[in-house]
Amino acid sequence: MKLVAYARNSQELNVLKNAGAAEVLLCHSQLSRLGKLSTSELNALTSEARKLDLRPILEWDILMTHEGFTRALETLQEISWDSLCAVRVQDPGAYEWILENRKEMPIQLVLETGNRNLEGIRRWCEYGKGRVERVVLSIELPESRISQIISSLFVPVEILGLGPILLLYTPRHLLSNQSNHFEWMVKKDERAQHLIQTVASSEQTLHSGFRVIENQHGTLLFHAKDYCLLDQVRELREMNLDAFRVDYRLEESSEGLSQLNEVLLHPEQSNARQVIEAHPRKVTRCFFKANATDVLFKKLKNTEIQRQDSGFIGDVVEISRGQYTIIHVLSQKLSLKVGQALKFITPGGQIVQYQVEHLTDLDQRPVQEIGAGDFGMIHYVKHATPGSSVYQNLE
Amino acid sequence: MCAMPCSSFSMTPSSMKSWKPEVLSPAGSLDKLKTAVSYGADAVYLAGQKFGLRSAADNFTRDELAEGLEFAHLRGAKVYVVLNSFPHQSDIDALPAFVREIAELGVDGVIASDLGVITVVSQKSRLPIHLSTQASCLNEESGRLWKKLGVTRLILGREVTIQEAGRIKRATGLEVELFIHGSMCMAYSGNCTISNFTQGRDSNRGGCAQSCRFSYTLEDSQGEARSNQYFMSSKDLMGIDLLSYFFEEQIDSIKIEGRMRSSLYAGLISKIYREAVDTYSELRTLPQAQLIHWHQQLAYLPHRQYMTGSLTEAADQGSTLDRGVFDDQSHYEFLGLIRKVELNRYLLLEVRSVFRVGDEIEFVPFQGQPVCLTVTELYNSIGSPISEAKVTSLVRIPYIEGAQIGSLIRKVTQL
Repeated sequence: MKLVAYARNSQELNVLKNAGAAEVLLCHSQLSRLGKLSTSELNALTSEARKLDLRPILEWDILMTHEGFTRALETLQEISWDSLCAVRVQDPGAYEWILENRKEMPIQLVLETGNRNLEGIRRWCEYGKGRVERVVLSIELPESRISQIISSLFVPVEILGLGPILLLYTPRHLLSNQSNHFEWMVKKDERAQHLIQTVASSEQTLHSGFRVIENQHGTLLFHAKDYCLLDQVRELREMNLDAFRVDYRLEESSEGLSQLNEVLLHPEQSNARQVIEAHPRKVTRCFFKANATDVLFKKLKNTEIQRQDSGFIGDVVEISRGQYTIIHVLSQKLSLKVGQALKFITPGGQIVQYQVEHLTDLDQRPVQEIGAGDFGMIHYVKHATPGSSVYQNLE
Repeated sequence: MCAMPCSSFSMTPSSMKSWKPEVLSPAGSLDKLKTAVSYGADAVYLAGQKFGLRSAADNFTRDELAEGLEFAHLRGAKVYVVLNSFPHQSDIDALPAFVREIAELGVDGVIASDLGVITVVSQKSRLPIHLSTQASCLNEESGRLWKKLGVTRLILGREVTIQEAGRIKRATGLEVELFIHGSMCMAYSGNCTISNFTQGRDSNRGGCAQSCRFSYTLEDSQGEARSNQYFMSSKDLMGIDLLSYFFEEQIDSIKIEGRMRSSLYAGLISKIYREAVDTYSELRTLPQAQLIHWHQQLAYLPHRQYMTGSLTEAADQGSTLDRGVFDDQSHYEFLGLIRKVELNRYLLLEVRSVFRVGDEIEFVPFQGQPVCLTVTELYNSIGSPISEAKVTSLVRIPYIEGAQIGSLIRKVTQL
């Protein structure tokens, strides 16, 4: 399992080399969401990486409208392509452009957004016709699914092993928008064109400490905790994960990298917990053991009254206590009839059974049957309420 | 109180032969589908009980979908089914059967964002595939890729300008669709997982908790905290003033957001954009008087502050709200839906909000001007006189010329 990480300067390249990294991700200010490197810096680091026997990979992960794409292409013209070992892309347009215009360049395809099923992931890879050397999967995937994908896919897989959890990416400059209220610390250095950082805390949930970064590409919101699978390295190795990515770009220093080599190489002997405790912020492994982010959906609506087709006749639209119940017949298949056994399901989920003995239209004329779209009146049905669904009772 | 004096202009029948964009409206339920189509939508989009992004919406059963299709097709309107979640493996296993079922029912296309879903749809059916805005297709190269993968229409990211959309259409030869009205995601669509990681609700499988609408405390550079900041809450999109650009760039479909909104919203928004598209198609301009009329109606629909989004230039400064609530102003109150018409006798109304004898109400015909009325008589469902129409009841009101089943009754409420 390879260690993959980012380098912002020569010093970090050396840290990476000493940490046993296999390759280095280089982030240009015009191409990468968190990129700060100028073209000359990137080209220099690419050469240095080569000399250190590290594979330099260009990260091109911004999403781009036409204008952004045009700017990116201008930057790409100045890149030393010959020294790069691969390009990492996320925007499908970038993927297409590399496939069409850099025909020899291997591609690392970022599928971290969505892409939770094998059908889609496999097709993304096939589209590259052998050019995809690795896919980067979502940290929303649980361990069991990652393992299945790795065993079913012909392309090696990478996941984030340690680093910030991106929650939101927008092209809008959300902190500058607040400049009327705040004196923001606009960090200006030689590399960053524009950088504002702050911390946001929700006032409607218990969540606090979201890191917010605004730069030339928009605004990025990160989780308060970092993602960390350092205590899962043995499992990751056993599932044949190809690359374990470490991301220290939001930290002042990447010195923590130097301690990771031992954890990755000898997980059974090393003390991952010690490394985790030394990490600058709390960590989480989120959905690695299980992703149950759909179980709450049942609570989002009243499933008791969710319409079922089988036996459905219509809805109760009015009740006059002790006098009558009016049913709007909605089914195209079943009508409301005298002699029919009905089942009412109230909005609260209560089931009320009733036999139709007397049926009238709204002019109170007795009828035998009321069809689709019309209204039928029956005697008062105790416990039924407006909004109750009416079914033919087949029990 | 009525929204405006009941006179002024009358709409020209939509018999123009020139090209027009499709007016595509939300249909969160069968009632809303019928309302949107009746009020002029060329097409609606809806979800079945799985694979959509609105778990809290009513969504359609098979029978409802069949009925909705029949209703829409009889009136020349199309129905697109959204399959735009990003399914996990366990979700996608049930997809082939669902795709075969909706194909047999005769839906006019599906809206998908996940390549796995697109793959299944193209393997199991010949349904046209519209790439959901969730896929954030933003540029020509991306459009070309999706075309090769079998997509027939691109619903472009909300970050794309109308001009860029036209460029993408010409470069790819695909149909393009752009949102023209409604709420907006703050993130590049499909690129937000706040709900997932903070609420345990997968926003990309229908569980978005709208965390971007919450208020937040932000710390400034001195570490001083400022509360009540809605820094991630986007203003709403309103593109009616830019309709000429949609025509110029031949944007195939103009989309209205809002499957969770009411039937009143589905109907009125469809009617407004229907009228605007037909008017522009005929006159090649939008007369000021009509624009004012539409603006007033749009102002009375529930919304946050309006903006033009990124339709002409990237939305940025001024595109977020400085408060969390909907605009504090007059709004339409949804009084009810006409369920039965007894010609020249009475209209049977399913009541959604209380109104009384003496109230001024508006009947909104499918085409043409709203009719202002004072409620002089009111009867309960069986014909006895009453003074107040209560919610969850049926009432009879005097017959109104032009009223049809599904017509809307509203009133303007001052806040």
